[in-house]
Amino acid sequence: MSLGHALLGLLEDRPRHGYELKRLYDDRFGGSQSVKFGQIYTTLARLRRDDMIDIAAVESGGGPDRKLYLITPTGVADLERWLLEPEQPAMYARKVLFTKVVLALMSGRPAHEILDAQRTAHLTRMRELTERKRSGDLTDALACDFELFHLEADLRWIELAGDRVERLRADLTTSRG
Amino acid sequence: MQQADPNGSRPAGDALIRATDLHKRFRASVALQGLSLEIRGGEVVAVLGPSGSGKSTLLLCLAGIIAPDSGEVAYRGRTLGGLSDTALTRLRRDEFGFVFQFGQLVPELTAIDNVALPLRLAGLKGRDAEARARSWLERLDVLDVADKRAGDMSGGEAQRVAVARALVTGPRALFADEPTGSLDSLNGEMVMDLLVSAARDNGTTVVLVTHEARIAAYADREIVIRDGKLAPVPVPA
Amino acid sequence: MTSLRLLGLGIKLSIAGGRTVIIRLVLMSIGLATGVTLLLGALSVPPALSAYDLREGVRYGTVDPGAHGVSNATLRWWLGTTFEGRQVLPIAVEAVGQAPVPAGIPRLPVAGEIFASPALASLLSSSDGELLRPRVPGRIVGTIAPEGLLEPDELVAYVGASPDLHIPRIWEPEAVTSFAPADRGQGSPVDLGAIVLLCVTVVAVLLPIAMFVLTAIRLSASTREARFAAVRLAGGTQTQVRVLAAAETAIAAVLCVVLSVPLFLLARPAGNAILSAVAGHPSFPSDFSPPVPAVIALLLVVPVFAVGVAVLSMRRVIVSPLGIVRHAARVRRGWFWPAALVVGFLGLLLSSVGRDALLELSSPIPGVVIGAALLLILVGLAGTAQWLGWLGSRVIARLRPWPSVLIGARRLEAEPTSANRVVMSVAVLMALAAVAEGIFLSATTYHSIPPGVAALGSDEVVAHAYGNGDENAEAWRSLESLPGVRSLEVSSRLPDGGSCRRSCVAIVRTDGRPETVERIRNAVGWSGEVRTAEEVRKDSSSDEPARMVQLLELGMLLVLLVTAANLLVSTVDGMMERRRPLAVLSAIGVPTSVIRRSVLFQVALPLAAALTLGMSTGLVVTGLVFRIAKEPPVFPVAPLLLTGAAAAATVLLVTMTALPWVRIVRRPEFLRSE
Repeated sequence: MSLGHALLGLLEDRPRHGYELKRLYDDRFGGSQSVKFGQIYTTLARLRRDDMIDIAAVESGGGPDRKLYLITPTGVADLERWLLEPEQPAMYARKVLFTKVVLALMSGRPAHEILDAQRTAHLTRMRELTERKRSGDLTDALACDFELFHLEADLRWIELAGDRVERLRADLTTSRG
Repeated sequence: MQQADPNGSRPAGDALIRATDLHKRFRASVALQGLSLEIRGGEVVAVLGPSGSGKSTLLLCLAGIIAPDSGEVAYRGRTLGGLSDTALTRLRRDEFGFVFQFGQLVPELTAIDNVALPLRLAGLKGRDAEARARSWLERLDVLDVADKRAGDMSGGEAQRVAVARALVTGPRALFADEPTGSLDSLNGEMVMDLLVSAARDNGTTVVLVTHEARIAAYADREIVIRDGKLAPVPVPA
Repeated sequence: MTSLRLLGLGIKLSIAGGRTVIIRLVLMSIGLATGVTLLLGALSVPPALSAYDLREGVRYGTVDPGAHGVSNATLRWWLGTTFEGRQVLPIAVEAVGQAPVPAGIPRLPVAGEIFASPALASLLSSSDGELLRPRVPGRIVGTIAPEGLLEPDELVAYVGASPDLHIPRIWEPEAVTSFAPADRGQGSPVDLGAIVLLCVTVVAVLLPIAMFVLTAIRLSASTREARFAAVRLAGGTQTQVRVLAAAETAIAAVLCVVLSVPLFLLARPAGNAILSAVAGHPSFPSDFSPPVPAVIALLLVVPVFAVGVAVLSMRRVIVSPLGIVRHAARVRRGWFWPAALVVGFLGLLLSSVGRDALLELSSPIPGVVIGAALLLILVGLAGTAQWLGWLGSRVIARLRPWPSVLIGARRLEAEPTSANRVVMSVAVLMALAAVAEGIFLSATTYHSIPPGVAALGSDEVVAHAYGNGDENAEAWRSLESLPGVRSLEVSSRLPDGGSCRRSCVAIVRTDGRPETVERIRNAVGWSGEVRTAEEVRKDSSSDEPARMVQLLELGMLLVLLVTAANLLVSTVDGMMERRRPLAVLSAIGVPTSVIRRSVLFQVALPLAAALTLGMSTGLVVTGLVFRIAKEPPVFPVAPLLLTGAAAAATVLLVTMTALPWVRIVRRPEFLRSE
């Protein structure tokens, strides 16, 4: 469930309001579409039911957007588990991968660990595809190549993203130092 | 040539190539810091890593072209460090094949000269060597450049000629450093296909250095190098 | 980008070029400096020769033809003799009135006094000179200063005239009125031989220098190309890049000019020695200096020349921002050279066939025709030899040879220039050597020694008396009693065929010791001449051809060495340029020995072509030249083969010093792609 985990990730840092969560999600993960309020609130409710988040405070006159949500230890554990688990390479789950990697990078986890883990998973799938391409016919080759190139693109982006974050971190430490 | 080893090496278990705790340092930089690995016969292994990670150096050490500062490389049970320069040269001539990213053909020689060269060095007569070379050029679809000089052909053609040269002696181990680096995708695919076929059909062990995942996907497994050390294999959850 | 900033960028790039740039600068400087030094040496020859003439003039002075009745003059008798193979020249002098003093001494010696040259002074005072003292009696009161000498180690003395000298009465002295050199008009006629020598040296030296500069410029061509392309990328034009290239060379040229002056001073004694050997007489090192205006001109011209060569070499090169575009198509005009060769031969052949008709024409024409034919032959030879070498490599490469031969042949085919230089020099040198040795051989066989001289035993001495037969007979008898004299035979025929009054010649058989000869000389005194058999033989032949041949061979050796050094540099540079393919070859299992053999082959094949073609052409030319001169042809096959072997050995030896580089160049570090 990517939206739920994304929200957990956003809450890992500090507690946030509902509207803040929506804004942040749209900014970072929304892409061209913004997520519907309803979806956010449904997900938040589910997370509460699953004991991943809790309500820290309520502002007066508040609907769900006015509530201040915080993450629970269960939530932290679940988030951690999800972040460390490489995403199964699926053609149309780009967004999940993106979310996961960004969260992991922003949270300070070492970039190359994330990359190595994801690469192993990707490569297993890519090996299957390569084998099928070699022994198959033209249509097989076309389809396999399509996915192969996208998978490779994923890995290259992860590497670049990691480099960027590392560079930024290094700059911050030196300017602070 | 894949003949019985005249020197009768000790049985080495499954590992064809075994590297133990390799360290290598160049003037300013450290290339390898305590790297160990094992490659079995017939495997296709991809060595992945960012640029500067030491993958090329590792390849050159495994092939006996560079000697590590410390640690040892064993091929079929024999330590490469203990061999004389002549013995190493002969080993590379008879049992290894090499493909580099660029600039590997002798520019003055024609394609057919280049491919026939290892055969001639191994003692084959001119006519036979040329015939064999020609058949390999044909397999790689570069027969039409057979009489062209290496400097006069395109990058893709030159690379395929280089692969032909690497495979013409039927080597036991083939070392490739970014073999598809200067090729377009289709040519690159043809080259990779050939390398994998050589492995499957003839039992050639292929050690392939690359930074592209798509190329690494042709291998049976991958080794990731970072900063001269092996990156730990992540344990699946 | 302004020109100045561009120049700055270019210079910065070339300085940052590191080791290769420095090596190239050094090589260019060495090559240029050597050439300039050689040229300075050549320029010193005419002054040295004319200085000698001047000294001769000073010594001879002005002689009054009417010797009697002069009031103020120095009377002079030339008393030359030989002592143990060396020329000794006592000059007896007597003052008449206010007599002029010869150069180098403070005053004229009186009877019993001697002013001797340093060498003679030390000889006379040592025990070795004991047997000479009877002929040069007197007390040494001083030495002759250098300005009074012709050669540094000359054995000359001014002796005060006295009866002790036993000068025959019939000898009339010369009356010297002054020791300033006689005004002989323009001085001695221009020494043609020296001028020819100068011209040959200039051409022979300029050519290898030019080639050396070319090689040095081409060094590390790829980095140079990259540098120029970078300048183009930064906005420079084609012309500006050419200026840059010229500037680089100019720096080297200036450096070399600075180097060459001390180099010349160091090399001056050697140059003087060579000149002495060739001219037949030693000369003073201080006389061996080039005229100052010529020096200044040379030091200014050479940098311009070097820069000119650099600019010329860039003429056909187009530098684009992407790198050097291959030079404008160089058509391989293979047929041109053999054609020239054939035309030249035809010319010579016609000259030899129609020689009578030719020689009847007014004087310059035969010389011009023959000269032009010879020139065509030499030029055609050079071109044909190089073309042959290239052709040979092509043919051999296609014969499926061994790897070392294949690599060498293909490399020759692809890049023939450096081999060409060797080929051209060797071919031309072989042809010249053939002609020279032919002339020398014919000269020695032509000049047959007179039978009388040939018959002289090595222990025999020929004494020739100047006076009447009757006086001589007694003198000969007194000789018989000298220690060491075995027998004596009196005759009236000289061994070299001349005759004289009866009993004027005695052939004395000695015990072979030099002291005996000197005793005989002392006994005969000034009334006659005593020569050993060896001296008689030397006098009846001339060693002029031998000296010319020696000079030519020395010149050839020098040119060969320069060319070989050139070859070495370009071979090593070629290897460095091909570092990567060579390293790859090492990786795939090609042993170093194969590469080494290919380098040798690259030199050996053109060398063989040059030698065979050069030698055969030379022999044919020799034959034709003799026919033109209406002499029976002499073919110096054996000496020519020897010369060829020596040339081949030199070139191959120099090439072998390049071989260790092969191992160095094949370092696998060049294989890393990161």
